[in-house]
Amino acid sequence: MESAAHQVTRLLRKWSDGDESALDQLMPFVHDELHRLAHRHMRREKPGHVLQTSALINEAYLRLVDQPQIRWENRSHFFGIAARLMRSILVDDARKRNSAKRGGSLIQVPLDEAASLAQEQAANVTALNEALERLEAIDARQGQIVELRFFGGLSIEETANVLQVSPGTVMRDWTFARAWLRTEMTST
Amino acid sequence: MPDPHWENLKELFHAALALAPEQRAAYLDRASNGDASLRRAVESLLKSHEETENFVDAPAYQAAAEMLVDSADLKAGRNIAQYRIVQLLGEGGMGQVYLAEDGKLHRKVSLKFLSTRFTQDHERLRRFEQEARAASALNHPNILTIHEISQAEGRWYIATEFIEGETLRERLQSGINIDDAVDIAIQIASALVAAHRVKIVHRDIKPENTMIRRDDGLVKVLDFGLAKMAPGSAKAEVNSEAETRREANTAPGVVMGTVAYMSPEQARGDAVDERTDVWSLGVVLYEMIAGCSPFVAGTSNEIISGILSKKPAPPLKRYSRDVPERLAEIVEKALTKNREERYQTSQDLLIDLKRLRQSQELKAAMERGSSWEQPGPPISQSPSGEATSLRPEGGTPTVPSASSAEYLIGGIRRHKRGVVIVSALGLVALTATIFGAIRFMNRHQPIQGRGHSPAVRITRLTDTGKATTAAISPDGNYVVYVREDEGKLGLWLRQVGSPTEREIVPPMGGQIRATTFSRDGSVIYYTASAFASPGVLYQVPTLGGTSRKVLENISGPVGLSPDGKHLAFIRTVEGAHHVDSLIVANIDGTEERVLLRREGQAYLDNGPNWSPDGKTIVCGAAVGPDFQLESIVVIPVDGGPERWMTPHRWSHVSNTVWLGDGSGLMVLALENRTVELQLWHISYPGGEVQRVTNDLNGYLEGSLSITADSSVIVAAHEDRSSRIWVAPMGKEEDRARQITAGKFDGLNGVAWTPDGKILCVLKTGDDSDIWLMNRDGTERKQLTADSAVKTRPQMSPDGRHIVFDSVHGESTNIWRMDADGSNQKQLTRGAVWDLGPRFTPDGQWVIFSSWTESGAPKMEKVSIDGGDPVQLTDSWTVAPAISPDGKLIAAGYFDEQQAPHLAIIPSLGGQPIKLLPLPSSVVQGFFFAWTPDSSSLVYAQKHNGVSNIWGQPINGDPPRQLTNFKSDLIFGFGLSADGQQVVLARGTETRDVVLIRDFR
Repeated sequence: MESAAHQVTRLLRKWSDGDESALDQLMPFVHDELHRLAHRHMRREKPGHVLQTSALINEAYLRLVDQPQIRWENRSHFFGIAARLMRSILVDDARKRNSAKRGGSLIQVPLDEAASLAQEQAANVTALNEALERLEAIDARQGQIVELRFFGGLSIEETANVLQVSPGTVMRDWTFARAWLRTEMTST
Repeated sequence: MPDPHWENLKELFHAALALAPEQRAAYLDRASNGDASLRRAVESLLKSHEETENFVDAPAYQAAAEMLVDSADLKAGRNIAQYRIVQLLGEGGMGQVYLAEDGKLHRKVSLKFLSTRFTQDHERLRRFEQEARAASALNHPNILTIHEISQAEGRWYIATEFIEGETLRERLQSGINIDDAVDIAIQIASALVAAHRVKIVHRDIKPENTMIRRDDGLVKVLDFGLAKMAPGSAKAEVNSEAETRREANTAPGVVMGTVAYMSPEQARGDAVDERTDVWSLGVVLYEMIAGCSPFVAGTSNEIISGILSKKPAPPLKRYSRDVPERLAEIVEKALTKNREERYQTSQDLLIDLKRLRQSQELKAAMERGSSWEQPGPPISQSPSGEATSLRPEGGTPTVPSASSAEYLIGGIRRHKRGVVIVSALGLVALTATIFGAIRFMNRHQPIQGRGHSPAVRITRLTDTGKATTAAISPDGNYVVYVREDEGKLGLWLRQVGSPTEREIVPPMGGQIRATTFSRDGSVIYYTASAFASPGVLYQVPTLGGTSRKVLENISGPVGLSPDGKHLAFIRTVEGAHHVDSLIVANIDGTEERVLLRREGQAYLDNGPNWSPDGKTIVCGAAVGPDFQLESIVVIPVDGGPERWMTPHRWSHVSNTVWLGDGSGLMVLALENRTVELQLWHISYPGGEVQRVTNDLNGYLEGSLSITADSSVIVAAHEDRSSRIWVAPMGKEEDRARQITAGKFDGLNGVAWTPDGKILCVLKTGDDSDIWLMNRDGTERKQLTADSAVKTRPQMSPDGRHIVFDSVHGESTNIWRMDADGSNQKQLTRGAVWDLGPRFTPDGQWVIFSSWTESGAPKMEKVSIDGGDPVQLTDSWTVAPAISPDGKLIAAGYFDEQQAPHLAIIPSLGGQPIKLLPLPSSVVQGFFFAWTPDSSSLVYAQKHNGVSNIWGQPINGDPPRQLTNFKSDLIFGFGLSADGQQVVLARGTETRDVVLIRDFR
């Protein structure tokens, strides 16, 4: 049987060669690995330590990918996938939290009336996602930059690498996108 | 193809951003080229940019990873530890909650996963775990049970019982009636009492933390001990007021919900104790009735200001007219801002709520019960819990859930000493026996001194042994008396000098407390009541006819003015603020006028009595400053200061009658440190006191009356006798052996020693002492010889110690002495009565029931070496007995319907794990013994006037009769170590009307 690393590497290659269906097959691998790693980190990290999303993705990448076999660009692709995954995980989660808050569950549990911090964030994530969708419709690259930076936790340089543009361009777009998103979110 | 407008926007934005802020406006003027909307868009982007410092950059970015962990979306069917996830139920302050199935125990549970934000702080986690484990030890039906606190796959979770129902918050939306509100509050208070008992303060009582089970309305309080661990208050357990306000402001959604239930001390940031929970429950109760919280306001800050201000909550009456006065008072007291003046314990609040519920139920029952123009007083419930109806053929007999036990407590609270006698009236079988436990402790020979004045002639008028109170007509021709038949009381009229008598008021439940003839003898007044409710005064024609209600809310007998036109009586307002009023009214009950009011401990005794000249009324009253003793107060009818009639002090003054010439009073009163009411003469105005009777037995409360010519007094008299018997278990009565021949042997206790001898209390002369003898009555040895009353001795399993309860001063406590009677040592202090000590099998502890003035008796234990007692139960439990295997304690108990039960409780205390019904006729006080194999409990039970020993298996099988006596009552017993023999205090008890002549 093909090893996971092999499989992921092969799928990454397929995807970078333009096979979009490879992405769907890649997702479950990355998803599970990210969860697993996140848990492990949480268990062993010291109090106060903030788990960096990019570190997590990096580790997932190192574990998932059969390295000697892979081109450097694959890593960028992988980060792109991971960022998108992260976004979908967080947005789904936020939707769920929001609906639970509205009493969507069958049987009520001691729901604290007050929103928890997580719920506040959930509300933010949902709003951000909606604004981001509007941004993507206008300017796909800016949308990608936000996805990579915010959900993927990538630095300006890493983002530039993934998108194969200059860091200056990423910086400019990022600055604008932030201001736009904020305007969008506060005016609606 | 990029949108040109968009490209333009980007370009302008970046260009403007590159400029110094003060140059941007001028640039935009030029660059926007008159496009106002473009210019506005760039300006708002620039403004947003200034504010974006952290936006999108950091917080959510970091949180993403944490959310990834927390949200790990537990899909249905996923297994975590032994639990299988069924579905997500919701999101709490500390994390997500799932419905899951416990694969091991096959039950549904709620699984609450703590967010990593919460568990990452190890110190906080440690405190949380500690607190949660303490809370998980709480075992109470109204507290959500915590099954487990553990971690799996790196996540902490709490597994709790799963409740199908709704939160009180949801319930509030559909409106709650007053009875339900009180019931819910009682259940929350019960939970609080259990938690406070082990020093766990909830800190966050609110409707969201209260679930109501769908099937039966059972209330469950959630998250005990967790509140202080919740985020927001976690950084410091105590927030300053400023912090509290800041939190309220900065996170309105977060704190708003909790603010409304916050006590003033919480809002101030002071340290909190159980009184904070009392406050919050007060808020919840208020909200259930009013529909809004007491300090409702638009913002958290305004709510906090309302809580902190001196101004009390708006009165509940403003929201609902139907709010009973008492309920409004209770809420007001729970919501007292100064916590020193609030209910000091949840227990006190619980008791008041339960009393309120009971009185509401009784009121409702009485309103339904009967039209008052019909003969006879209200229906009621016999103390056994069986419904009894006044008129079997008619009316709508109902079963008010009167608590005889609580009635007793009420009585005890009111008149510590008086209740001993009061309770004997009309309290049949069971209640009488509960209180028998009380009177038992005090039973003591009358004080030393004279016997009767030599000339006094006492003759018995009745011989049924069932009379409880009596009155003689002014002409001396008739005696009316209350007769107890099968637990019901009826009024009977008897012609003096003739054996004929007839029933004038048929038997009924409840009590008839007192009877009085009108001055012309044509009418009899009597005070009747259901348990625990105020009395109602009725009148009935002497020669028979219809009872008519005269007035309500009266505490005892009436006194009639010499002209027969006015009544005097005592009205009592029970409760936290006790008030007794002496009231004068017209003979038909109209035009009440308060003559004297006494509050708190300064109570008035029942039975005011009008002087022959009509100018004054005399009445028993407690004497300050400590109000421990009583005397007789003379109150001028037309005003003016009252004064004491005599410097003499008694433990209790029952009723009084004037001698016709005004030269003095005859009084039924209790000399200090005795338990039998005796007849006294007090001269007037001299105030000299002389005791007239000195019977071995006493007279019954309120039963004194006199003829117009002062020649004959009538009173109800009690006569008891008891001797010690030893009998083999089994149905052979002829094998029982009487081993003593005194008059009161063993009434104060009999027991076996581990080596098969008999330990008992005997009366010798004036003293009551502990004796040891062989099982055939030989080799008697007196172990104590002091004046203190000692009851219920028990010997330790190792034969080294004897424990007993003993009266010293005003309280009764547990004492210990060596097996030879030396080295007496007091083991408990403080409570009003600590009664019925029993050894644990290892001899290290003594368990007993502890009565306080304010509450129900509870089970406690104290080390044989003394020290602080440990409370074992917080429910009404008396007469504990520990099983020979040391695992279980059996105790007397009343269930919700006030039916008597045997409660089986773990020996370490807590809630009953099993309740076994008891017959209502358990004789002479709850007293239980275990069979040696710990499988059954043994008690004495009366049937048709005869007591026998019965055994009740704890597996719930039907009880079996173990002795076969054909006569006499059993006052006390003890089971031998092998379970084969029983030692008994057996004898008779009668109450009859006596005529007393030549008493002057």
